[in-house]
Amino acid sequence: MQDIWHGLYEAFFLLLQLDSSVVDAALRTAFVSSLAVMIATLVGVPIGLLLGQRNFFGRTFLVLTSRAAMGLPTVLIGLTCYCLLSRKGPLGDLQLLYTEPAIIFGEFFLALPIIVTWTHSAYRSLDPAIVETMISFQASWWRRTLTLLSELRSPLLLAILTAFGRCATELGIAMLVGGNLKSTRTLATSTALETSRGEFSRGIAMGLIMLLLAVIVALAIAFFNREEEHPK
Amino acid sequence: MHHPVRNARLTITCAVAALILTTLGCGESERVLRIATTTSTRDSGLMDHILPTFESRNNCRVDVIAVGTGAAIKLGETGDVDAILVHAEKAELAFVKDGHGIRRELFMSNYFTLIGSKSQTIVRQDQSPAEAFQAIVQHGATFVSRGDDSGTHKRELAIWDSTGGHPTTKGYLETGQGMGPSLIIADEKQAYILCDMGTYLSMKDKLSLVPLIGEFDLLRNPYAAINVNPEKNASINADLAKKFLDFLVADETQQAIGDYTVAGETLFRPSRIDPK
Amino acid sequence: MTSPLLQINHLKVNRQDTIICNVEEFEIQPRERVAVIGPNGSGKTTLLRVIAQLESSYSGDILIDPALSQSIYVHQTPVMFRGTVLFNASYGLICQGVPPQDRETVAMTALETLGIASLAHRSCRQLSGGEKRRVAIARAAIVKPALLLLDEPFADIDQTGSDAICELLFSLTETAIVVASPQPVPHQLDCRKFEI
Repeated sequence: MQDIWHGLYEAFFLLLQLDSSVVDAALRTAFVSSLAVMIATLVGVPIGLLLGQRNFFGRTFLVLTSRAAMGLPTVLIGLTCYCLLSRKGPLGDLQLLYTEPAIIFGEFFLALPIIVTWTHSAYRSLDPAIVETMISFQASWWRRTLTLLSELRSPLLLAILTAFGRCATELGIAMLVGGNLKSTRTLATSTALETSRGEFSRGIAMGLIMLLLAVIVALAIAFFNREEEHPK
Repeated sequence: MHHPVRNARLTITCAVAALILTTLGCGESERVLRIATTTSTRDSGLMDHILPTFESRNNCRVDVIAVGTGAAIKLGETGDVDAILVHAEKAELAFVKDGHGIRRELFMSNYFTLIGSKSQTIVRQDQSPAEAFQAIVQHGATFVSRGDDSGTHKRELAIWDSTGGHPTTKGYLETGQGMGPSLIIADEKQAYILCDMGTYLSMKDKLSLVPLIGEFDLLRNPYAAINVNPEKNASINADLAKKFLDFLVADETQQAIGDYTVAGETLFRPSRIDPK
Repeated sequence: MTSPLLQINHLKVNRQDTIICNVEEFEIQPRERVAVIGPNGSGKTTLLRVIAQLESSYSGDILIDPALSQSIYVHQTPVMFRGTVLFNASYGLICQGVPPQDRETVAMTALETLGIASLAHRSCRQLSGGEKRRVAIARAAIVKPALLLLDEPFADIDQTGSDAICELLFSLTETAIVVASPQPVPHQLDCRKFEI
């Protein structure tokens, strides 16, 4: 117990002094997860909208797959990406394994089902009168997309925040495809490493930042949820 | 006469009694020896080879905690283990000098080896470790380091020191992890890595990398076992720990160490005897 | 004799085994005004929605003249886009690519006619039901569609508002208008009565 209090105490100092390994992991986590979520949003929102608007063969299957994929363990996604990116895998020539782009690649697949499912679900909850009105005014494809994005602003933001929270704190993908090298350490993998090495204060420091991150995301989500229900 | 209920009750009572007695019995006669060693030692498989003999002879169980050299020594300092088994001479001597350990026995050694891609042309077979490292830096090739203050890492840094310091470029990858994972990473990247022969041989079938240079003094890696000072706390099993060290230097065990092979090659050289 | 914009014969709309709309014959000429009068549940909304081609499952014949370029249906419960009153009112013009300056002028004129110009920069979320209804009517009227379908436009509207709406509709000289209402509509509109 003494060790843990001591660890907590030292952790605060590490944070206050902006210890280099802690800052390094924090910045990398923020960068990698943000990029992954950004790309997932650019790809996922159109897919989600498409799944809501058009009825085509296999649509139900895709919707269910996306929903199920949200529950995939990160270590499983990490393993699959590892198989794809390893030297012996189909994308081995890209030599991406154990680099930051590999983590972005993996976390993209973690964020994508979240974005697609929430976008589709938000579209489905949209008042059909909105779509009918857009169509009756003969809005162009582009105008309709802009209007939809505006109407779905809140649920989309929620989806992005959720996806970011998930990516920033996940361990499985960053560990397996990042390799936890000094140059690819995230907050989660650092916490795991430092703890297993007995460096409690470092591990706790990293853990505290992740906690802070998770809390900020949760607060942001709660704030936007309330905004949605009781607009000014 | 058949009394189904009475028979059932009897069976259950006997079973429960047996279970209780077995558990109690385990508590009394089974003792536990906790040793901290390095991941490379554990990965070599040697422990699994020699420990069963010790366990059955002393009617005990040996818990092997495999961590980095630094962490292993720290476990010894905090008295969380009864003995440590590492290969870091400077740290070991300091450990004993500072009173953390009461008895140190050198019992085996092996060599570090520089391994790299089969098709590489940068390092020549006749080069010394320093020359090889120099060549690697000059060509900007990828080098994987343990980066975890382990014995292997310290040796690697010692070699870099003789070339003027370790590289700080992107090609120098620090994993911060054990020998096994670091080898996998090096293999994936087809990079150079300093590795102890033991771990290399035990993982040979998973790797495509091969040893590149010969055995040099700078690459020699002696292993020592140290008893943790029992005055640290009451739970230290000094008696078993002493027996363990005696066991390691005994002729029979030394022979077993010398006989231990992986993939047809011997890993370790026992210190006390010349293996036959 | 001009050809009708739209002609409906033997329309039957089923939902869950009940006929919710049953219209034997309905037609509307260009620039004509028709008031569809009937009690609640008589199928007024359904008829208007079928005319607006928003319903797909029905039986019967619908003939639509090619001259019918655009028909706009204003919902019984008005639906607002996220944004200001001005944005909503000018939505149709935005879709047509009209430049912002011109848009604002036209939209403000319509809002003034309906007496809600002061709400122009208010967020639509803060509006009352009657205010939203007027914004929706303005939005539809501004684009001067060939056919305008209003579902109970005079609900929650007071006399002043009702007069204002009639004034706006009156100015739509090229638009055919169908109004659905449970009560008779104001005389000013001069509608042909169609009972359902």
